[in-house]
Amino acid sequence: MAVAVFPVRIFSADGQIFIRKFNLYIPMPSAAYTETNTISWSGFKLLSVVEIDAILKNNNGHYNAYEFPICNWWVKMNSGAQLQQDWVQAFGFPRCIATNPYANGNDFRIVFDNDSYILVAGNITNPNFKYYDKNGNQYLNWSADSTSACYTLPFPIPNDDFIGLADSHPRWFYFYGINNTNNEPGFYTRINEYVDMSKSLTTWYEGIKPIDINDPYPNIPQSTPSGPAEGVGLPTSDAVDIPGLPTFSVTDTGFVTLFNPTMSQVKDLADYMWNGLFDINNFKKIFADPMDCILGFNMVPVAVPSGAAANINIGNLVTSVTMNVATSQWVEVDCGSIDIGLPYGSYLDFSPYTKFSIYLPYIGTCELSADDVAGQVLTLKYHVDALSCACVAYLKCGDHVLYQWTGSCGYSIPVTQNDFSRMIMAIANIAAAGIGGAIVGGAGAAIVNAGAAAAKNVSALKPEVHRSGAIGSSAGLMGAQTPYLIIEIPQACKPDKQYHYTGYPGFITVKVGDLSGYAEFEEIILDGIGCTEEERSMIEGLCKGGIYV
Amino acid sequence: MNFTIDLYTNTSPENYVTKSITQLGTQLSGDLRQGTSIIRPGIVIEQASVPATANYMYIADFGRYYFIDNIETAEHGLYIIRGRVDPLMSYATALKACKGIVHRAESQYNTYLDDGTFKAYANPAIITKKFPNGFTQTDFILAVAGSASAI
Repeated sequence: MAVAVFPVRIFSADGQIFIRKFNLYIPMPSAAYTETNTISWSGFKLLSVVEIDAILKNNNGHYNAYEFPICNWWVKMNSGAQLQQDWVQAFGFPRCIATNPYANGNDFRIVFDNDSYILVAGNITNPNFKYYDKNGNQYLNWSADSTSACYTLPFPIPNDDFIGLADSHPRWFYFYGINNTNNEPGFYTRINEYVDMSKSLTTWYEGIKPIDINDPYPNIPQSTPSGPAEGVGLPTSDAVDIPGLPTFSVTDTGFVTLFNPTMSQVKDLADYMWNGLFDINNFKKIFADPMDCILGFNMVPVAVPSGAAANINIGNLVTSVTMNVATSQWVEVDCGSIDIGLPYGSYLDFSPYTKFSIYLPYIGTCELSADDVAGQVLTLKYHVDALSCACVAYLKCGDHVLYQWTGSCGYSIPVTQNDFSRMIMAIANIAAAGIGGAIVGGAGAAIVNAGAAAAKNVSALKPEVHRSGAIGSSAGLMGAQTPYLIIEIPQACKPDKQYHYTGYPGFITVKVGDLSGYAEFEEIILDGIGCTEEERSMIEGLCKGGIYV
Repeated sequence: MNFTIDLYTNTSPENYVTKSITQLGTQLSGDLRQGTSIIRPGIVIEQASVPATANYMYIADFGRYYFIDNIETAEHGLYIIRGRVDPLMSYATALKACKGIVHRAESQYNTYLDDGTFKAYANPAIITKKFPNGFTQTDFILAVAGSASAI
């Protein structure tokens, strides 16, 4: 007996095809089939049937109203055959508790999403179906063929404009459709004549496509095998190294000079600026506030590379104070490497069991993913900008820089602008007033005016010290200066010879004979064993429960 | 039909493929006069005695090893040996040629598979590891507008 696959297809008046959500396996009669033959219903198999979870009963205990999100179908036999409850239940429509679900006088209806419904009337041998729209207008009065062996399969479509029904004969399927916007009540159009099921599947009539049993939905792209076994494998990983220091420096611009003074040189500068050798008359032509020339004075926790000593210029004023000139504003601090290793060599070495964090001077304590760092050689480097005191910490895990943090590692030395600048400004103002318009109109006038405005602003403020990085910088100087890892490792509890009693996790396909000791199988194919099926089950059960090879 | 039974003492658990067995006495030989199950045989033998330590047997005609579940005495010097098949030992050779997906094993495993095999105490160990180098020097940086003059 051949088996055909029928997706339940309904044809609308405009030729659109509605494909419902389930298929139906129907045993195909042979060409010599006659109506007196009996179809073996055991050959039916519903692939997917709408589940009816909540079926309401009326007061008489009958099911009388159903709401289906998608269409359903049912079967009826009337050629001497008795409707059997099992069949009806198997097909998902009414799970009748009575032998005659279509008893007269009962209001059995199928209600659709659009509130239209089919009213089922008649009796088991002569059922009648009427379709009503949501306003109660009848559009179809449809009865099963009561004179021949007839299998009735209405396929209602919950569509605003259309209700379609299909009627099946043992050898034919009839499809009907009605458009309630164009047709009068009671009128229906037979869209397709019939399909002779005794013919080959390739001789379907127009409008009905033959269905490939292996591809019942040809318009849906076939899925292709995928997943780990079909993947392309892990992509190759590119090494990500710690970058080099920047090649440019603000000192290259000529606007800024960085000095790397010793403590005594700093004192020399202070002495110079505060003693009588400071030629204010010269300086005032350039700046009203000499502190404007000092862009920053920081203490940084790194050895700044320095070159030859040079005289420090404050603005255009060449002082007699010498300091070592810093050759670069960028400094790298190599904190070295730590080989973490794998304490247990098991999943306990990774998250969520093992936890890593790292203390970074001038940055703080940061969480690390154990999956990133377990078993890796960790290399830590800082890049420090001595001018801005910004720092970046790079943590390289194996060959890859997986973490970067930023911080501030400098301490801005408070060069107070209170007494000194106020004094200088007072002198500068007096001096400027004394020379009057001599400099008016020159470039210096703008500078003096700007400097005066700045001084006014400054004097309006309370004395304060500005620190780059604010509290963080000084706190960093007080904190630990060596980075370190904090590792929270679970203390494994492992009984002696655990491997012998329970084995260790495998998930490996292997021949039983290649194993020794304890072995527990997820699945095993007992091929080539000349045993009884009972013995095969016993062996399989033992293998899944654990055996000793 | 010449029917032979070898009695053994088995000291291995049921889930051992290869049992550690010691033969007891000589092979019992006779005729099979009544039907019995090949999976759970009940063999009636006429014997002066059956070793009380016999807990395992091999029936050559069935080609199977059996656990002896019980030995019952009957009238007229008869003993009933009730057994059940040991499929692991009986088909050990063929079984060892079969392939399967190991869930856990003693000899081949991957301990990175997290199936709860390893357990840990509630109190973890807290370990700190210092990097070899840190910040050890402090320098002053003075940034000044303009350039330096050579001495």
